[in-house]
Parts: sequence; C-alpha cells; structure tokens
Amino acid sequence: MDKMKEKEIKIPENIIREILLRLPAISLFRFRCVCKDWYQIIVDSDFSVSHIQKSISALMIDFGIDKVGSYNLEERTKKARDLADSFRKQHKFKIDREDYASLQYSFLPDYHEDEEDTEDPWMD
Amino acid sequence: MASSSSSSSTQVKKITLKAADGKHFEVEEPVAMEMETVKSFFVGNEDAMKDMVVPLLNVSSEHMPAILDFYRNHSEFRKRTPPPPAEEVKAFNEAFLENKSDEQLMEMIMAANFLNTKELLNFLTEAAANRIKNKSVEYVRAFFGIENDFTPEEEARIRAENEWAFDGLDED
Repeated sequence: MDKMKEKEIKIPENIIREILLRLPAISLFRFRCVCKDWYQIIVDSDFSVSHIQKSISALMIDFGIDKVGSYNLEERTKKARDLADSFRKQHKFKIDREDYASLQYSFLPDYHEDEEDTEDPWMD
Repeated sequence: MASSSSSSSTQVKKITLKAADGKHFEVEEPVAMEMETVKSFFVGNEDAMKDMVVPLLNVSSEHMPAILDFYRNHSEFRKRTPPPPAEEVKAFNEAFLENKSDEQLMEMIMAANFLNTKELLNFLTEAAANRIKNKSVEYVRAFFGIENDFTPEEEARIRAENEWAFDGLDED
C-alpha cells in the first residue's frame, strides 16, 4: 500500500475530486481531516453542488444507513439530524425535505431561486 | 476474454498505440477512438491513420491489455441488441476489478485520466470510492500515500466538528 508513497506518485487533484464525488456524505465529513488539500476540496461550495447533483435521485442524500443498523431509531434520527444540519450550515443549503423514517433528506441550494424541478424526485 | 463480435468484418482498421515503455499494441479503430487522447491525435489528420504509431507517454504497457479488454467488452455490450442483461455487465465489471490491488487500481485511474476515457475513468473512480468509503482516515492516507499536514491541534478540532462521521467503520 505504501508503495504509492515510495514511488512518489502524485495523484492529480481532478482525480481526487472524481473519487470524492462518488463517496457518501458521511465519508466526506470524515475525510476532511485527511490533509489540507482534501479539506479545501470538500468544503468548496462548487464541490458540494456537484456532489449533490451526483448523488442518487439528484437531490437526495443517502446517509449510508446500512452502517447504522444497530442503532435505535432515536439515535439514528439524531445522527441524521446532526449530519443534515452540519451539511446545511457549511454549504449554504436549505433542507428541502426530511424523512426521519428512512433517514433521507433532500437539499436545495439556498441561492437557487428558480428551481426547475420542484417535484419530489424520490417519491415514486 | 476479448469478444470476437467484430471479427465478421475482416476489414476493421487497426491503430498502433505505443506504451511508455515502448511496447506496441494493435487496436481496432473504434476501440482506440474511445480514448479522447488518441482521437485528438488524428483530428484534422485523417490520412495519417494507417501507419502512424500513437505514443502514449504516461501509460505503462502493464495496464494496456486490461484497458483494451474493458473497452472491447463494453463497446460490444453497447452494440448488442437486445442489450445485455445487467448481471452480465456486472459480472464482467466485478471480474475486471477482482485481482487488482489498490496500487494497480490507482495506476489504471492515472492511465484512464491521461487517455481521457470517460467511461473507464467513471468506472474506476467509483471502484476506488467503494474501497475507501467505510475506512478510517489513516487507512485513506495510506491508500493514497498522503502525508498528514495538519497540526495535531488542527486535526483534533476538525475531528471534533465531525465526530458523528467516525462511527461504524470497517477495520483497516
């Protein structure tokens, strides 16, 4: 694994971005402390917009709930709220919809006034 | 494993690609043209195709067979009617990644990036994301060979802010 270090392969930032875009939100919060470059990429507002667009059903974030199966509902709800709240604060998004039962939230950019598709993208 | 669906037309044009270490690879034109880097080599220069060798300065020959295998199979999947069942594509993709180490995966991502091949790059970056998504910060640093440049205080502060994101990880 550390061979990459030995060979001093420098992975270009565009590749790191592409990989990070494909991670669930919870991993992105954790990986902020990998290094300063990653921190900058992840907190960048353009990145969060791209990340949201990439996530399933365009505006829905899946919190990786398969990992929290052992928690009771209260814990899960609190976790989901914390996550959604940090996300909203740090990326200037407003919560468009929340669903505690399935722990799914959808976000809309706060500055985006003429949202084309106001239909709930994941009701059906 | 390469598909033989294109063998019916014996006249498929071939393009020669030269890897960084000098090895040559003969590639069917449609497969080679999936790579924007190769394609751009011929833009406005169509006559050159026959005998020109396209140098790929950043791609080692170690990964060329796998990259070509990916494109031969996927272009066959795309052409087929009716489209192949999802399980077949999935099985090919899983077999493709099965024996690749993390290091090989990253090298292939670098190669796909240089070749500017969107489909392969999407596929491989997705695979890398799947390998790290439930891992610890330390694991991820080792995976990418990244030096932690935060002070202990800075790192502790960022961790504290995102505490809830550190539960339920896979073992390193």
